[in-house]
Amino acid sequence: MSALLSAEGLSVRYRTPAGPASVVDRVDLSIAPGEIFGLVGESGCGKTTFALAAMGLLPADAETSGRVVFDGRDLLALDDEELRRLRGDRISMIFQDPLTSLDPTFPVGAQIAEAILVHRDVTRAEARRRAIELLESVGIPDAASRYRDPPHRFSGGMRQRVVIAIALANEPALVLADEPTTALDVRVQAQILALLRRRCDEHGTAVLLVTHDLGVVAEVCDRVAVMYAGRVVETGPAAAVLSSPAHPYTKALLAALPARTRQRGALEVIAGEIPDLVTPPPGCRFAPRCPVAHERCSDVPAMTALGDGHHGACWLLDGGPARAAASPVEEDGS
Amino acid sequence: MSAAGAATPAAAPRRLARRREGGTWSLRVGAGIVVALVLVAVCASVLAPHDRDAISATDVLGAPTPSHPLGFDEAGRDVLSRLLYAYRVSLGVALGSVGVALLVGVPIGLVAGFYGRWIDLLLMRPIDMMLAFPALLLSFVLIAVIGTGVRAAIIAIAAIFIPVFARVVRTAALTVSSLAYVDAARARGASNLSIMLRHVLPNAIGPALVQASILAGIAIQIEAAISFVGLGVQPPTPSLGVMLADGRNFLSQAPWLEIVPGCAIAVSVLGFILLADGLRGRLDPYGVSR
Amino acid sequence: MRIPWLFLLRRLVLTIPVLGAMSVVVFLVLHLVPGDPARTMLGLRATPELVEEVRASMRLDESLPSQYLHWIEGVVQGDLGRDHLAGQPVGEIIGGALPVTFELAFLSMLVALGVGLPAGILAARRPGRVRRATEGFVILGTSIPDFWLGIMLITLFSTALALLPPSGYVPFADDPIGNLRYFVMPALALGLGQAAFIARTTRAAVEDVLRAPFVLFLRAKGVPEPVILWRHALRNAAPQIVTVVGILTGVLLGGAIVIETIFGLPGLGRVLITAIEQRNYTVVQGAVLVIAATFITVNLVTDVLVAWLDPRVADGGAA
Repeated sequence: MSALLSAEGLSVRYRTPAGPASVVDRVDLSIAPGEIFGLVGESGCGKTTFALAAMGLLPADAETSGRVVFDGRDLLALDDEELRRLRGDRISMIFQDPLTSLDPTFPVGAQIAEAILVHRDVTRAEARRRAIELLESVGIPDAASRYRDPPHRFSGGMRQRVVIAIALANEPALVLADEPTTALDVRVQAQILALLRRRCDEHGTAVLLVTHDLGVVAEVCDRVAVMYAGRVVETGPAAAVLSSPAHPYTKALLAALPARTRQRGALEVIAGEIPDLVTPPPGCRFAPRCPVAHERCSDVPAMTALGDGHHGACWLLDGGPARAAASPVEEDGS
Repeated sequence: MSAAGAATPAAAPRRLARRREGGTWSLRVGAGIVVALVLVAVCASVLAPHDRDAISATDVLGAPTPSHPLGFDEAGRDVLSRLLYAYRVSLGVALGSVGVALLVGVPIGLVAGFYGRWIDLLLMRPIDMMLAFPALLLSFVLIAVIGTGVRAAIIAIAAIFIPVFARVVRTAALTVSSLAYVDAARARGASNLSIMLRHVLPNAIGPALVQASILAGIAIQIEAAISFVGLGVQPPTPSLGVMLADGRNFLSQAPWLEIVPGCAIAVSVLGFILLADGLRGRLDPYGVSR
Repeated sequence: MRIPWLFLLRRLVLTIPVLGAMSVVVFLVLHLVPGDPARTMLGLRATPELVEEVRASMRLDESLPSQYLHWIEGVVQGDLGRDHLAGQPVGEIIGGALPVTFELAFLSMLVALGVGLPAGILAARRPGRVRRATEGFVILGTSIPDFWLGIMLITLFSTALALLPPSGYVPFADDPIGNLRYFVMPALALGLGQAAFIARTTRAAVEDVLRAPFVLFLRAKGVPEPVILWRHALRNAAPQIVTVVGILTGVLLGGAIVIETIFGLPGLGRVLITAIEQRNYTVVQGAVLVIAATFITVNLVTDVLVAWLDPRVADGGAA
C-alpha cells in the first residue's frame, strides 16, 4: 500500500537574530490513505511547523529542505499556483483557534461556498446548495437560515464545525488538523473529534492530527509519531506506542499524565527545558534531559525497527528489544 | 552516566526583535529640529542681523544679497530678521496654547479616568462633543467671540486642544487606575489625591507629552491659517501666517517672500511630528495618543 | 450583506440630541461676546434707530433661553435669521454658498481617496522601499500647510504656466468644464494633504488584516492572493478607512475655509470669514450651524457604513 503523504528528510530552519534555528530536522513520516495519524509533542517541538511546511504556508524567511511527496509529486518543489490549486481541494488544513479562523465580515455560508467555488466550476446557486448540505453534515441546526449569519453569532465549537465543513468541502484526500480541539472545552472537544472521525471514515479522508494531548491520540488515532525538538523520536501504531513506549521521552510523557500517577504525591515532571534550536545539542536532542543518557547519545540515534511498524530513535533500543536496565520509569501495567 | 535530572539550561525560545515604532532616528532628528527652532525663537533678537522693522524705500522687494540672504519684503525690511521674529511669535503661540491646554486638560482627564463611572461620564460627554467639532471651525468661532491678536489666538487654539489632552490622559489614567499597585496603595491608606499624583499621573503623562508634540505642530498650522486670513496675529507683528499673507501679493516679483515662510512652517511641523514619533516608543507603550 | 436598519435607527435617534447640544453651544458662544452685539455689528453705521431696529429683530432684549427657542424654531422651519448688514435672509446667503463648499469638499475627498487608497494598498503589499516612500509622503503631507500648497500651485499653474485660472467660480450647471477648471487646484491643495493620512491608515489597516489568522486559513483554502486582498483584506480594513474619512471630513471643512479665500470661491468658508470680520453674528451663527450639522451628518453616514461592512458593529459589539 503506497503512502498518501510521505515526508523524506524534511527540515525547516528559521532565521533568527541569533542565527538559524533548526525547528524541524530531517523528519521522515508517512501517512497511509484513510488513516488518522497523530503527531504528538509539547509546544515548540515543530509539529505545527511540519504541517505548515507541507502546505507551503510557512513565512518567507523559512528555509525548507527535503521532500514531501503527495500524490506522486514533491510539494516542496511545486510553484505557488500549483500549490494553491491543491490547497483546499486535495489537502486541507484546519487551525487551532476557531474564533480567528473565519473572516468576521462574511457570512459563514459564503465562506464555505467560496472554498467550493475556488476549486470547482459550479454555479453560485449550486455552491450555496452544497454549502448548506455541508453545514447540516457537521451538525449545525437550521442550516439554511444560519447560512447567512456572520461568524460572531456562533459559539467556538460551532465555528470549528464550520471550519471542518470548509476543510471537507471538496472531499480532500488528506486533512491536516492542527490542534483542532485545544481551544474548546472538554465536552465540545469530544464532539468535534467524533465529528472529524466520522466524516473522515465516510469519505476515506486521511487526517494528520497534530496535538499535544495524548488522550486525543488514544481516542482517535490509528498511528502516531512523537516529536521532540524538531525530530521524530518514536513512531508506530497508536496502541503499541501508548502501551509499550520505546523512547525515554515517550515514556516520560506518558508518566507525566496525571491519571497514570497512582501514588498521592508530586506529579511526574520532565526536568529541564527544550533545547536552544539555534545551537542544539549534537546527537540526540533529548539527551540533556534524558534519565538514561550515556556517551553514545552524542551521536544522532538511528531509527530502530521494533516490529509491526513500531520504530524508536534511541541508542538503547539498538541492542534489540531489550530495555535499558537503568530505566527509572517503571511500567505499572496500566 | 549523567545523573538523573541534570539538565542543560536552555535559552528561552528565540523571539524576533520587536520593531519599535519611531525609533531613535526620529527622536534625534525631531528633537534636534525642535531644539534648534526654540533656540532661534528665543535668541531672535541676538541672531537677527538687522532691525526687523527697519523699512527702506529703496530696497522694496529686493533680491537676496550676501548681507541679506533672504532678500527684502514689500516694505524694504530684511526678510531674514523678520522671519526670526516671526518664528518667535508663531512658536510662542504654539507652545503657549499647548501649555495652557496641558494645564487644563490633564487634570480633567486625570480625574475622569481615575474616578471613573459617573464622574467620567459627566466630564467626558462635553469633551467628546467638543472633539466632534472640526478643529479649525471651532477656532474661528472662538476668534469671532474673543477677537484677534496673539493672546486671542493662544486661547482659541488652547480651547481646541484641551479636549484632546483630556481624552488622552483619561484613557491612560483608566488603564493605570485599574492596575494592582493602585489598589495596593489604597490598601496602605494613601489618599486619592496622592495616588493620583504619585502613581497615576506619572504614567498617564507620557502619552500626553507625545500628543503635546503632535499638537504643537498642528498649532503652528492653525496659527498660520488664522493669521493668514487676518483673524490671528495682527500686522505689523510678524508671524509665519502674517508673512504668508503679506507675501501672497508679490508672487511674481518676489516669490521667495511666500516660499520661505511656507518652508519654515513645514520644517517646524516636521520637527514636531518626528519628535512625537520618536517619543512614542518610550512614552506611550499602549499607543494611546493618536 | 444586510443593511443594518436597527443600527441606523439607533444612530439617527442619537444624532438629534447631538445636533441640539451643538446648536446650544453655537448659540451660547456667540452670545458671550461682550458689549452690545447690534451696536458692534453696525459699527460706524450705528444710529440709535438702526440699533433699536436690529435689537428688536434679533430679540436681544429677551432672555437667553427665549432667544434660543425663537432661533431654533426658525431654524427648524428653514429660517436662519436675517443678515442685517446685507439685508438678506441668512438662509439665502448660506444656500447660495453651500453648493460651492460641498463641491470643493467632495472633489478634495475624491483626490484624497484616489491618491491615498492605492498608495496605501501598494505600500502594504510591497514592504521595503515603497513603504518608506509612502511614509515620507505621509510626513510631507502632514507638514505642509494646505493653503500654502494652494498658493504654490497657483504660482506654478497660473502665474508661471498660465494653464489654470487662479481664482473665480462659475456654477456647474452653467459651464461644467469651466467649473471644474476652477476647482482643480483647490481640490488638489486640500486633497493631497488628506491623501497622506488616508495612505497611512490604509497601509496600517491592510497590513494588520493580512497578518490575521483567518488570512492564513484563506490561503489554506486555496483562495488566490488577489482575491484575499481585494475581497477579504479590504473589506476588513474598510471600517478603519471609512472612520478616518469621517474624521478627515472635519479637517476638510476647516481647511476649505481658508482655501476658498485664496481661490476666490464663494463658499461657506468665505461667507464665514467675512461675517467674522464684520461682526455679523447672525450670519456666523447660521454658517457655523450648517457646517457643523453637515459634519455630524457625514459622521452618521460613515458610522452606518462601518456597521454595514462589519456585522459585529451592527450587533452592538466592538469591531
